[in-house]
Amino acid sequence: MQNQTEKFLNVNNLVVEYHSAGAAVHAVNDVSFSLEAGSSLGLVGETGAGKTTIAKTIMRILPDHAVSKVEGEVKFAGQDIMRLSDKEMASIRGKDMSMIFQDPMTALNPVKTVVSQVAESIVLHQKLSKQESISKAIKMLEMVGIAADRVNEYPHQFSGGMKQRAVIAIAIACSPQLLIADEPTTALDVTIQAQVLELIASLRKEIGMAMILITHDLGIVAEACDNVAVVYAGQIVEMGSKEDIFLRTAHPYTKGLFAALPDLKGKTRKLVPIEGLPPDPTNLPKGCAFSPRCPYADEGCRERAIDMTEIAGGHLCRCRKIERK
Amino acid sequence: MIKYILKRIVLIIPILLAVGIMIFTLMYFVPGDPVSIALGNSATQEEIEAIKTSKGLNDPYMVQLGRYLGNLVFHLDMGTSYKTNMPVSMELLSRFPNTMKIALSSIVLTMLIGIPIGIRAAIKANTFEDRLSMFVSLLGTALPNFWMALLLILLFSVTLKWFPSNGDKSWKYFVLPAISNSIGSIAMIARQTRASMLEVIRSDYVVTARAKGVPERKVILGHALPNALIPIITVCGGSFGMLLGGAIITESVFSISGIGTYLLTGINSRDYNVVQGSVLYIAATFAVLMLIIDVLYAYVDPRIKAQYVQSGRKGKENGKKDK
Repeated sequence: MQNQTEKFLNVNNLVVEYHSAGAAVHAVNDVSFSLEAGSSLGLVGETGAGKTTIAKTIMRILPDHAVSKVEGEVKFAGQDIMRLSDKEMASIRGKDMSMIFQDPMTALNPVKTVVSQVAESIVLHQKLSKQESISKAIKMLEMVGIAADRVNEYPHQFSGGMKQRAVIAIAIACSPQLLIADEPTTALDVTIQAQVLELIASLRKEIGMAMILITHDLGIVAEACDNVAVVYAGQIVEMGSKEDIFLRTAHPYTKGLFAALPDLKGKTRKLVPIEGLPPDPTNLPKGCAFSPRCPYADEGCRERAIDMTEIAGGHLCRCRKIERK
Repeated sequence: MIKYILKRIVLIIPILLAVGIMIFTLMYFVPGDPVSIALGNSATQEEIEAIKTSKGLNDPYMVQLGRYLGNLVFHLDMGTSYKTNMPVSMELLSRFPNTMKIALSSIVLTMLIGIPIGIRAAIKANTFEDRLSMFVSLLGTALPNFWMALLLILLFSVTLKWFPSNGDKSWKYFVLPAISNSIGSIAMIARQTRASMLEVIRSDYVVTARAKGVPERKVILGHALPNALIPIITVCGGSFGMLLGGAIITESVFSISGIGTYLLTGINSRDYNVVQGSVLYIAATFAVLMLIIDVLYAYVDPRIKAQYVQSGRKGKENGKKDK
């Protein structure tokens, strides 16, 4: 613990619940992780596993009207994010931490020019004059590959890839220390995906920012992340270095994810899907959330919640069967 | 963009012509005529017919219509009132300032109060404050205008003696009419603003703005509101148009001589030219107002502007092909 508090981002025992039609939706259940300055963490999991909710909690941009409970601790650069006033939080957002959103088609304001949307955060955080911030915004847009003669256009005049580049330009405009990229390439086609990922990687190198990359694509994680956390039903089920997760896979769910991936190098084999569906977040199982789909599960797994255990240095897994296998 | 506006202005002419023909025809077939109403029961049928013939009211429909449209198009003349013999255009012009005063003060009041209430209600959606303001605004839309006017007169003219109850001599005379006239539209605008803000406030770009660190006030007014404006402009424009056509009830209750009461007396005495002239005026103001609203749309939303420009360009290209 002593060691952890020195880290740059600490998320401890995070719990988030939404209310929906009278029922409590358990979106995030006791999530803890930490991130060192400049490093990158991949949050991997299926749609609805709670990855975006974790990100939005760190940014404190959860939709107020839907959230019924937020508990736990988020410490960022020595500050307790949960205890900051709205005003203090607004001064951190966009400056020290920023976020790239999943859907570039809707993430830009349709009635403002692209350059003004980039310049806005520069004006807010860097105390530059309007003219200076616009010329800096143009520089940022050029950095992400948008020509200067198009910056005064509106989002509807941009293609999807260009919009995502603009969203990235907004996120990195003030050189944040932490970038949260929420499925930055999901809405883009494959060739543009590679470009955008490369762009993010080179910008990270340049600015030296830490990154949380949210994705369901293990290939992207392998390319872009130092550490990986596998999220299932609002819990981290396995966490460790990229090598731990890819080469020394421990949790049955993570194994299932890899079994469902096509392997281009090896000989052709039939893909193995994970049987069943993720649990209903309004009604999670009492024991291990993966137990209904787990081939190794027994009565003990279903009885009570499983704790995270360290199976090797820095490699954590939420499974009681691990030692015995 | 200018091309688009010019195109729209030119299009107003056929619209007014069509309205003129329609209202003329309608009035022609409505039972009763200005002469017999003006002369009353004491006049004999011969006297009535003689005057009608002298005024050309016994001519065939097509002849009368042709004469009316001819005067309208070539002399911009809407004729004279059968009752007072005053030119209709002069009468409309003299009543226009009063109608304009009521309309402008009502719409300004409506926007100044209605839009902020709607925004507030949307931010506080589903809280007590939201429910209360929406309940009050439901009352506002449901209560009849004249009843509000009478209540206002009772309180502010009779009891408190702050404002006069009727007449049109100074701005003081227009305070109560403006209030009673705008309560319904305040409620309507508030509800419309709330609905369209609610839609926008949860959109992704509003979250993006928050993630940039934009202060909440600016998120709402700078990012959300401009995107919610289109339906608000539509409703405001619509109610302003209605107001410019004369607020018949308000004008009657407060004895203000405006276009609404002019039209009403015209209808009652079958004063054809008065009715046709007033309706043409209303149609013209509406057409111009709708054009202004459409231009405002383009100003608010660049996507709509792009459509306008494109439609202008298309027209030009087609024109070239035709040649």
